[in-house]
Amino acid sequence: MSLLGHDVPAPAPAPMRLSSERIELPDDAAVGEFFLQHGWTDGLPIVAPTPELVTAFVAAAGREPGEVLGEIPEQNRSVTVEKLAVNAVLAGCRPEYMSVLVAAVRALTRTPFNLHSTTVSGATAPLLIVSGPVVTKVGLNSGFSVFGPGHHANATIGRAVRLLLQNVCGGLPGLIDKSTFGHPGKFSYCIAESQSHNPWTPVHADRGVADAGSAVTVFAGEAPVFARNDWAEDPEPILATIADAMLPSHFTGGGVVVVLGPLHAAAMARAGMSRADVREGLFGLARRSVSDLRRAGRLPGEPQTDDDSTYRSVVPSADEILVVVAGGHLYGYSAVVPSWVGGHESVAVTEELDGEESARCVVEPSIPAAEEAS
Amino acid sequence: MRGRAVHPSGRGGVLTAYVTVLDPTEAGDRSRSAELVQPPADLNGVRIGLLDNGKPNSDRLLSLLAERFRAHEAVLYATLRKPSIGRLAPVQLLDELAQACDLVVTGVGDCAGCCSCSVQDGIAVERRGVPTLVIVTTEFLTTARISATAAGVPDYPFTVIDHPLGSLAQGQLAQRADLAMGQIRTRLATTR
Repeated sequence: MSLLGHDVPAPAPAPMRLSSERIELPDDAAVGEFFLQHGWTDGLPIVAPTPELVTAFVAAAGREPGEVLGEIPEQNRSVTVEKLAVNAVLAGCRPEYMSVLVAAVRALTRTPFNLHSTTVSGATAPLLIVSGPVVTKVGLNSGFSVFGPGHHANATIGRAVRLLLQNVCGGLPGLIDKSTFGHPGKFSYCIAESQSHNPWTPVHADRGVADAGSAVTVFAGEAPVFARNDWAEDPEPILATIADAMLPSHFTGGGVVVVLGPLHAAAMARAGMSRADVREGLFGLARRSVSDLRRAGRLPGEPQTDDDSTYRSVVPSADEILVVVAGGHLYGYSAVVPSWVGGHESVAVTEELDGEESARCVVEPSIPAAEEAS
Repeated sequence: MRGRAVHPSGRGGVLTAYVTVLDPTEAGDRSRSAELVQPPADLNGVRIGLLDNGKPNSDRLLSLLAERFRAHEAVLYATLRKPSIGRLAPVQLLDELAQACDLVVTGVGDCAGCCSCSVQDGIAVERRGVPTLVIVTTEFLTTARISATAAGVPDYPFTVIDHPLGSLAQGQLAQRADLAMGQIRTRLATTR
């Protein structure tokens, strides 16, 4: 399929065969109520997934509706382009977001992420971190209020993932997802890396994607813990503040995401620190004594004489600290996103958007016409 | 899709308009359904394999069950432990158990992540032609049934013990083992 002029996704050449069961209801209000009663929503109103809209979304991905994007062997289920499209429509996405979602599903269903267990147990939601030129192409917010609310792309891409987890990946709250508290990021958890405030290469550059590329990184994350330090100009007190916010982590061998606010990132850059230096600095500071960990029963065994002087870091190595720059640039905040309790059983995964996928992401003011579906 | 038609459900008579929408859910790949294998009616000489999913106390419960199987003249092949609680058992592990055993017992599914995995493991052994007993706790029977349904075996007969398991002392574990063994013996007695 060729991309013309302004990279508008072209309509499918022939009527598309969608396999999802069709449901006929009197009107949009009845659709909303039907979906709510069946547990197919997050509790908020949805956009009716008509065959016409789903067809347009599948076409926008440039793929066949039946293509399998990923599998969840623990549940004997798979994610097809069509089911992703249905849930993206439900969530209120624009069709031009589809390639970001396709990359997100590829990342989520890669074995190291452990989508099944992180979806149904523990206290996490998949945090999406989008980086590279695609961020501005689809209008993702990387600045003020980056964790939400207020921005269509962040809100609906994150919501599409949530609805997909619930409708396709076994994450129905209370029924299969037995999370104690849930968390606000389970409505939507999608941020973008700042291009204007990031003093280093993009986050994906350390993760196998070319600097100039675009990527989605997924991380099974608990709710963000905010670290405020508005008073320091130098890195040391700022790093100490962020390290304190890392301590609620589980100490079970998992990683952690640190979202450096622009002021904090600028302080690191002024001092000549690289991203790797930040990771090393945090790794050395974010630790607890063995006696502290034993007191809470986090380490087994009888107390030893050197427990007070022996320390464990919250992560196994500095490389497990994923440093991203995002957020508003007026206050001295960073955010720490602790990992899933299963630790090393789920790790951050990065998937690149290839050139064609990236080209499909340009948001135009109107939704392109699509073939009649049936 | 919007149109004017008779409401297809037949309820409510003639409608002037309707809207067609698509089901957003995925039921699972039913094409991989399995026929359940009949377990042996008599445990005498039956080679038992235990697949520990790694949850706290699962090893102790399976060990107590092994004692009870031995009391009925069954032979314990081995207790194998999955490397990862919240993932499927490796294929080699399942192959080994299916080749060496007449009956495979796995569990305990006492959490949302591990339960689905143990159910899929059990059904994977059934697909290799060996009968299985999957042990789950009361709180996760629904999870287990959903998982079995997704695997194409909606009527899998689970062995169900009271929740919780992980925090129990040995005496309470023995009670759970007796409860499980009672269900297992009833199942075996009704299989022929």
